[in-house]
Amino acid sequence: MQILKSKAIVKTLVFLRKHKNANNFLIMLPSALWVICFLFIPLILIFVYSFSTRGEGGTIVASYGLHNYEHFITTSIYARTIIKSIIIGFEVTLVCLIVGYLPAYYLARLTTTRRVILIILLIVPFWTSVIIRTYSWMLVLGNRGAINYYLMKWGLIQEPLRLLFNEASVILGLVHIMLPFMILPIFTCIDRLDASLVDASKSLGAGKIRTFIEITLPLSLPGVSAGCLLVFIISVGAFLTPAMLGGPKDTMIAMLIQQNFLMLFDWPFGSAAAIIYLILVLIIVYFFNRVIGLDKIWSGR
Amino acid sequence: MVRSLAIEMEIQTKMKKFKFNGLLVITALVYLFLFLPVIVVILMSFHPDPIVSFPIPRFTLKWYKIFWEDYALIQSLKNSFVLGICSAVVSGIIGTLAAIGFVRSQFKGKQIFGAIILSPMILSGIITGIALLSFINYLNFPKSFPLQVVGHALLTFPYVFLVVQTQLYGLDRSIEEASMNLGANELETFFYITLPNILPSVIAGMLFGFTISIDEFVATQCWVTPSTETMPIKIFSMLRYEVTPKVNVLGTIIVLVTITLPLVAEKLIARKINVKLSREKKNK
Repeated sequence: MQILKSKAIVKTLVFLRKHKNANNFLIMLPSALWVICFLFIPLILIFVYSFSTRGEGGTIVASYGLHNYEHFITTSIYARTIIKSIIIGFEVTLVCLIVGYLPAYYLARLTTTRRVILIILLIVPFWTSVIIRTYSWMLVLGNRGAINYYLMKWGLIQEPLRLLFNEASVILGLVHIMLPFMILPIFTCIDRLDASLVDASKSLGAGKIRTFIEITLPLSLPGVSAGCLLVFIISVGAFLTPAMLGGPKDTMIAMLIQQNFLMLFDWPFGSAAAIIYLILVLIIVYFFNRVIGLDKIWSGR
Repeated sequence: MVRSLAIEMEIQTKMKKFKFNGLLVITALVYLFLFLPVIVVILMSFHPDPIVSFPIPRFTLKWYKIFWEDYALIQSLKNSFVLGICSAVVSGIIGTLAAIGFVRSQFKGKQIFGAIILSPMILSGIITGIALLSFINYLNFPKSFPLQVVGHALLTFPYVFLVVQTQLYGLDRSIEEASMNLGANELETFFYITLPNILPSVIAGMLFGFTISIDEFVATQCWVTPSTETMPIKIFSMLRYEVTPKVNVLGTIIVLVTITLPLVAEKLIARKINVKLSREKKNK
């Protein structure tokens, strides 16, 4: 009898637990459905489209083959956009790392008040409109912009310099937007670093620079790699900055996809470009995972 | 001997000071780089001429007046706000529910589920844009305002999820159990106990979502219809033809909105944490 009773209790408890979990699943359902219906299933559609053929007037004809991918790889203009995206992504990451590391180190070494203010100031541009920040460089670098105005006023040049619409201006604009993405993870990582290690190194006779090179720098690497991954992935898929600050030679992969979908109405080819971009992103994440370990990055935060 | 040691120490402290200042200078330059262009935009919105020149000869509000009289621009501003509010509400609801379910359940593949929920954040906006566009096209639905809300909710709810989830981990679950023990059912407990406790982070998440929706361009251009053009779309098409000072005015407005809202949101989260800390202190 006793055993039966306890069994019944256990059963109801198990049921209740399951029931509770069921409730939890129920409330997670809307979000899961949202992502699956509006992102994953559409992506499958894009995948199917990438093998189809463009018909008259932008229609999609169901004759399947690899011709879109072939066209992408063999036509040098298209192949160049993906190479250009990778190069620009790489350059932006490198510049962000060089420019952003020392400020991150400085922020982590600061004490309370000033540090809180500086961190908030760093998050502010994070949320400030990307399109306006990109546009602001047009005011600074343009033919009638601030730099040319002063150079001409001081008589250093006669004709305005062409500072806009080239690869350098794209990189400048992207670095401007991506810099907080690099500084914040590095800051968090150095901030969480065990201070006693630094003290130990110093009391054992290592100088400031040696302590930095042998202790702080290696221990900040998870933050560095998190920042690099974020900056690289986001800048490879950048659209606004190359579209606004770049010249015709600076077409990046996101622009190519947009052109094919919204201007040329060649959806099959655009889909192929999108799939190639997605594969590229997956490869980058995979290599980061293999070389550095993504779990290290998450725990580093 | 003693003197040389003293001198050495002095040199060392001087070097320390110098190094400190070097870092400070670099950091200041980086911050200048981050803020200067935006400040130029704000200043130029008060400038009498469209050409950049400083110092400003005199402050004027004439561009604000011209901006105010541009019906299409004001309309796009309204569209953006309505879209931002709608998508913030939708993403607030689904994001909060997802966070509660996610924090309170244990199952295999929880990490994968988390990654799925956050995936709209990681992918380039153009991918989300064209994917939803071709899906809608495949189903033979026209582009419309609800489509924009659906899309923006997709792009913004991961932020709500992240913010609410962080606060939920810090929530003391015993108060919920107390409520249940006192006879409230799950729904009552949720509305009277759980929701009021996590409300600051829900609102903060929705404000973040609103900010992102207001600023979103890349995906939105795939879903937009001529009558529902948002501000970024309008700015982009204006810039294609000419650089007009009206953009400076619009930029100033967007910058103010996108700076204030997240700061309010941060305040909300911070206050909640402060309240919690003071409560803990009292308990001690």
